[in-house]
Amino acid sequence: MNLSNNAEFIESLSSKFPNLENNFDTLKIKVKTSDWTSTASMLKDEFNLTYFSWLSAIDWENEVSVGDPPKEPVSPCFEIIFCLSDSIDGNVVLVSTEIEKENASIPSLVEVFAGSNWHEREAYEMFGIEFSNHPNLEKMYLPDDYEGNPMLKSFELISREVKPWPGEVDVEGMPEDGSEGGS
Amino acid sequence: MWRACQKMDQREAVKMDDILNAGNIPYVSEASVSVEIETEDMTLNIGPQHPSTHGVLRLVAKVDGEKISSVEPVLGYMHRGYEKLAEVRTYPQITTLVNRIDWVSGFANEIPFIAATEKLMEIEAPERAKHIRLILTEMARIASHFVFNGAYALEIGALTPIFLAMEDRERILDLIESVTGGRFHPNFNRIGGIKPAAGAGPTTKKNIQDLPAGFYQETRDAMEKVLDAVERMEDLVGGNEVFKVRTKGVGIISKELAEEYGVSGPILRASGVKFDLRTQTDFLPYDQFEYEIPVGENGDCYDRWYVRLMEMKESAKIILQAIDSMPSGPLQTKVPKVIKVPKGQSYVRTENPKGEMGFYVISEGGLGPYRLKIRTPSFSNISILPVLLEDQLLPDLIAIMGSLDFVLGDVDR
Amino acid sequence: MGVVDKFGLPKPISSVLNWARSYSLWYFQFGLACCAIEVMAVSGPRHDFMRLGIIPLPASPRQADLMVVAGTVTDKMAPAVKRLYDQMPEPKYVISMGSCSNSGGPYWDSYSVTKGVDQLIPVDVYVPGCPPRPEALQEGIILLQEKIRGEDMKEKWKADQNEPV
Repeated sequence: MNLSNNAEFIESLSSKFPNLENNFDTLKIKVKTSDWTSTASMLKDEFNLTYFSWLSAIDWENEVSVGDPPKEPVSPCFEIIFCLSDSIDGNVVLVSTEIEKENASIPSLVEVFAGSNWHEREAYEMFGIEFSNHPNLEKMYLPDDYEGNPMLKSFELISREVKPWPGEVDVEGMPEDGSEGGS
Repeated sequence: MWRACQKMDQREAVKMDDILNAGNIPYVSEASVSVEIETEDMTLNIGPQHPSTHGVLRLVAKVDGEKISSVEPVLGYMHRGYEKLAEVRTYPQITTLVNRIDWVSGFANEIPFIAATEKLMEIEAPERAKHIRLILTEMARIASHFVFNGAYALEIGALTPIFLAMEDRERILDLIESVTGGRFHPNFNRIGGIKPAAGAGPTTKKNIQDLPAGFYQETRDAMEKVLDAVERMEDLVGGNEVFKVRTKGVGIISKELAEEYGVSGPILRASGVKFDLRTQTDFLPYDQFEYEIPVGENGDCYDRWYVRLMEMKESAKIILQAIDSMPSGPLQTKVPKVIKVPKGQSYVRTENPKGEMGFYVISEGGLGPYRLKIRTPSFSNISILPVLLEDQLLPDLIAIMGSLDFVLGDVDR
Repeated sequence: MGVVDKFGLPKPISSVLNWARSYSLWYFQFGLACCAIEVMAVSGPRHDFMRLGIIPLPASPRQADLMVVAGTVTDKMAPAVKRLYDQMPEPKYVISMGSCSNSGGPYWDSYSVTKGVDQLIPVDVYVPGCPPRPEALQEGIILLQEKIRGEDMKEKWKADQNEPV
């Protein structure tokens, strides 16, 4: 349980954003793409959330080439999330929006928070999302001649195709049939 | 021959006098005219293999003599693709993988992931497990700060402190190994508690292994020695004139710059912000113990070094208090053999020795997460380098980078 | 070394040279990842590798004759590893430490990791572990020293590849 996120903060936030979700101690707000930068500046000025934590994206897709697909069918889109907090009370808020996959593009937050520079470069490289008004949107982690966006759900891991994982191999039982909680 | 030399001297003397006393050459003082020579900035590649870049970080620096005009870090030489690998692994397998993100402090990396998963499953670990987790986390913090102390003094130029620090660190690693079996990648957390400890002998039903015999006494001795070592380091390194001159007033980070870029941990505290995530979460029972939070004043390299040194002392005090008040009980709650986490999303952040580490787990009810976002402290900490290193000197670059205490596994994931 | 190629060295001389070379290895600082912390621990006061003769730690490859690849080698770092290996003067030896550089390790299915450094450079000794204990690395160094002592200079200058231990 997080001691941060006190009740007053949650109330004032939910009066401004009626669709605030508070599950498993995580506050999440969904906004429209057109309000992206204005929400960021409002949270910075009015709610005192001046600390920029991270920005990333999620690829929602029904057919996946790695791992398990989602439980219920979803409409394919990219969900962009950023996280702000403050360094006095420790409140932490996630803000998210959804954009389409074709020609994915979203305004950049560099003018509001200078620290989002590198995070947006990483999202561009891993997912292929364009951030308009970004000073230098180029590759960060992968070699220059690498093709493809690794974090997309349609990107396969070649080593697994060539030599698949043998699966859950159960170890032998304990000497005197002890099994408290497995391992 | 002697006469010839004398004559030559006289002639030379006359020539010099002529030049100096001639009225038609204007007297030029050094202060009034500066000779303009056109130079270009040189591109210096502080390459991936370098003794003092803490791993494989590459900096492309444009320098003008010894002064840096701009620095551009090139990352990715240690990019192993954690977030993609997490999608193809099951939850217990991810605990193994996650240890190796911040490879100096192994145990502290597992805690936020386990916290997020336990929150989604809505189970809580027993009290004894939480206490043991807290003790191991604080030991990992001490071990990480020992590496920092030794390596930072080595970069400033002192050869002795690293040997002292490595010896003190070995004692802590011995303790961690006697409990978990591994020196710094213990993989000791299980969802719902911790593994039956590696005490001695096989793990059977009747004889659930617990902390090894003699653990409490050995830990008390080791913590006393840690407190001695902190005092010794403070005198040996902090009292050295060369160290003080090289680190005081160098690389000042203001509070606004730190918050804008997401800098966290001891760096933020050295800039004057009294914020520690250990007071903000009750996933581990920190509120039962008394400890102080060291805060710096100026935000320069000396303050960052000093804050970490004092943190080691506070961690040793916490461990001494925790040992005296250890509750008894089981080590793990009942969980099914094959762990499936119900659908949900959860974000948990804790205080890693390097800063603030957070895990955002998105689960769709499968054996593994649908998406795992890892927020690492060193990635945000280094993002201030292009701003901070403008107009600094090259030797100061080494001092500043060392004081930020980053690890490439954190940066590149 | 035309003389050595044609005639070989007589046994007493080659054994003295091999003994000298095995006890004065200069090891080149090339720590990549977690195994580098174990190398720092091996050079510390408790498990000390200076007693095995590995005293100076040159930072430049041009003065070294042993390279310990400790840590994960990614595809972006691979050309740099090859280049550093080429910059070392002969005779040179390579120890691959840890499971990441032996065969890819826990990241065997990643999209950006080279599965084993022996795809790039010839390796003499493999030390398994994740990370290997300091005692394991010391055993690896001792095995390498035994290998050097049993070397035949003529074979080494002629042979293109080394047999790994």
